[in-house]
Amino acid sequence: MDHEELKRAIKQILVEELDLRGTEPAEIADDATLFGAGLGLDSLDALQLALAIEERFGVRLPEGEAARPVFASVAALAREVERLRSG
Amino acid sequence: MTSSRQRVAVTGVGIVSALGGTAPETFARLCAGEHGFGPVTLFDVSAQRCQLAAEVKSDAALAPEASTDGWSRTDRMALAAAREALAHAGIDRPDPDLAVAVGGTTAGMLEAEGLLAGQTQLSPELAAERLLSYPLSTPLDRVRTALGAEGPHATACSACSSGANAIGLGASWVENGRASRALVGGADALCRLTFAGFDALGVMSPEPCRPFDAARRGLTLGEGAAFLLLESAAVAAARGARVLSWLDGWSLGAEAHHITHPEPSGACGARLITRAMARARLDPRELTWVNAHGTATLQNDAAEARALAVALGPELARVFVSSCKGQIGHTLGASGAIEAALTVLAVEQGKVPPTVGLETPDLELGLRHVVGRAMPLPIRAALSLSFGFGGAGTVLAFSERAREGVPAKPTTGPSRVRAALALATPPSEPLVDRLDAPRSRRFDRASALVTLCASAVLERAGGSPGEVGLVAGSAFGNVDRTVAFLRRFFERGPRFASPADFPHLLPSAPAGNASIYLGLTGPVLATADLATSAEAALCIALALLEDDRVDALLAGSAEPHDAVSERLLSPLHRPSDAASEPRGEGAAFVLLSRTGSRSDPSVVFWSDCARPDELPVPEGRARAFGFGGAEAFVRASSWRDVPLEQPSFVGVPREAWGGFALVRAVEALSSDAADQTLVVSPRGPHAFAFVFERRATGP
Repeated sequence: MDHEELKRAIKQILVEELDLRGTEPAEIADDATLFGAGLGLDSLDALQLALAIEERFGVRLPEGEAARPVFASVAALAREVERLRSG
Repeated sequence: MTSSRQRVAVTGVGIVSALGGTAPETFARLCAGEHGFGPVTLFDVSAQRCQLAAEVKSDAALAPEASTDGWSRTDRMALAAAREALAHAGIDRPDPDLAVAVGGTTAGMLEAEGLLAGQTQLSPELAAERLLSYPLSTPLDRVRTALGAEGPHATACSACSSGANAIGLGASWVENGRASRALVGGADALCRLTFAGFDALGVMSPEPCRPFDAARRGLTLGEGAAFLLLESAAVAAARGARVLSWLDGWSLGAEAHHITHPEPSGACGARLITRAMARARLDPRELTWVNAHGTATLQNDAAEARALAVALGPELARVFVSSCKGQIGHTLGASGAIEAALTVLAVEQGKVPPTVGLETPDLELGLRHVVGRAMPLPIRAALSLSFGFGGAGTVLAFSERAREGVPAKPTTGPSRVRAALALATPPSEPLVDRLDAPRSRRFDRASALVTLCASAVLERAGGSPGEVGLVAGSAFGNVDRTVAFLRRFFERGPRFASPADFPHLLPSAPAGNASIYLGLTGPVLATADLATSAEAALCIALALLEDDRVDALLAGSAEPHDAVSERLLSPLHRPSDAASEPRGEGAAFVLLSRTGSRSDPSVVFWSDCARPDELPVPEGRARAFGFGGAEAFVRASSWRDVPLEQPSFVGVPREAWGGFALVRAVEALSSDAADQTLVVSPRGPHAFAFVFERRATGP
């Protein structure tokens, strides 16, 4: 899966797992802020997202403070998944 | 039934906890600073982050009598604690007028979860029998039957404030003369679903929990049950009962903020503390101790400390604040009841229990603690605080001595129905599409039904009449979602339990979700009573309105279609029942208040344990509605000459028919097709009965 496909897959997970009804995956910008003001997601969504990404890509994302930069955007998530998969 | 308000005395308590099978045992070990944590033995938790809990070990409390075979762990602990409270109060004979309210969140989940997920193979008959422990109403039914109690009754679920909510409701019954004696409390056994759910949320501490500690890392689960026997001051005095403590104040409300996160300013908690104290006519200077919710999560302890700071001001520096959860764990729906019972004993014995697990206090909380073991100190007044998922909170105020003066009687008129609506829908209809998408994420069909119906009722009433609460009934609750969560748990492993779905599985989730969506900040709770869940919800709302401290309440039921319990329970149905139940979903709600206009139908009679001779004589053009055994009830009453209408609500689950009949009875008045209407739903030896009336308005 190349970088673009990975980002598309993460957007699909966002919409399905976080029940973002009315949002098309393609509408989510790669660098859009996901939590707080951006898409309006919260820490409960972060837990669900981490679990879905672990299930789908077999990588465990960091928790706590270290998770902040990783969950900043789709692009950041994709970079972290690639890093963990290659490591 | 008395007409004046009564003071509420606590004359007995019973407790089952990890510290012991009785109240004296639990309280003594609590005061000694012991804890009841150990490795979980009830089920396998080896794949989970947290592997600790406070399990009940008392054989006597887990088998209160020989005839409890087939009862759930929750049922058995409930009966043991209920019996102890009665014995403690010196009541050794069955009292048919006894009122009972039970709070809880999981009932027989521990016994049913393997079956629901398709993991446990049983014969259809055995499976159906085991599933009888599953409905939230079963602990109440079993306790009432075992005790021969036929008075007012309620199951209350508001997540982790359920037990306290049941106590507040029972206190309203006693204060307003609905009951002179009420056995009220809560019970919750540990189960895989709650253990995996809290683990998935990452809020469970890997070590025994440390409330209010700077290094606190979350909660530790526990289980148990507790009951308080409440009696009116007059009844307690007449039999020379020893009063342990007085329940002088209580308040129920909701934050309308988030399904799991407490609102950080603590504003709702502060409002409830202030109200409970005002009702008890307590000044903050008279308060000695606060038995806090104190779950040891970062968020709860911080929000609770802020609520106390706002409500008590500078007095907070003097008042002691403890949490029992470092010893008995977080017992969820039972916690408010266990902690209330412990508060009663602390007031009676003049001992302030410690906070165990607390080593380095979080100075930002600004609380005064007792550490190590209990501190001897006369307790003039104490609060017990409970807060739950969905934002529902309850505050109970106990005093050492009865306050001077008699509580004021309500001055407003009868409860009125401001608006009513029934909503029937096929299960294929995408209900959530009718709601604002970002605010209804993860709503299941029950949450969508409650929100849509309640919203439409408020709209009909022309908006919110002040602070509105919500009592939402459902026979089985949210079975399909629970099954999906459990299947994933068993098939993929506990690590993959969905954190975001878990809080939506609680029976109170539809009420909580609707309260957040609609901004409802009054009492918000769920109830269950099989096919009379709407009637039960209406009775709870009317009892809370008699309190005269709630502006308005939405009450009714929502019954989503669920294939799993329908299939599992099918051996219990007669074939004719199955044929008369076309698949569909339904919700029916009414808005009740004490401040409606004279043209709004008024409630002239209501009871959840009515006898035929109690009904008021019909006046004007009267119509009667009911099902099943209602015919015999009506014929034995002064309504015998009024023909009983038994409407069929095609496409609506049978469990929802009571709510639909209530709405029809109100609409008959609104459309001037009657002057008085009666709805009767037989339940056990008595019946739910409601008489509504609409007087023609003058020119």
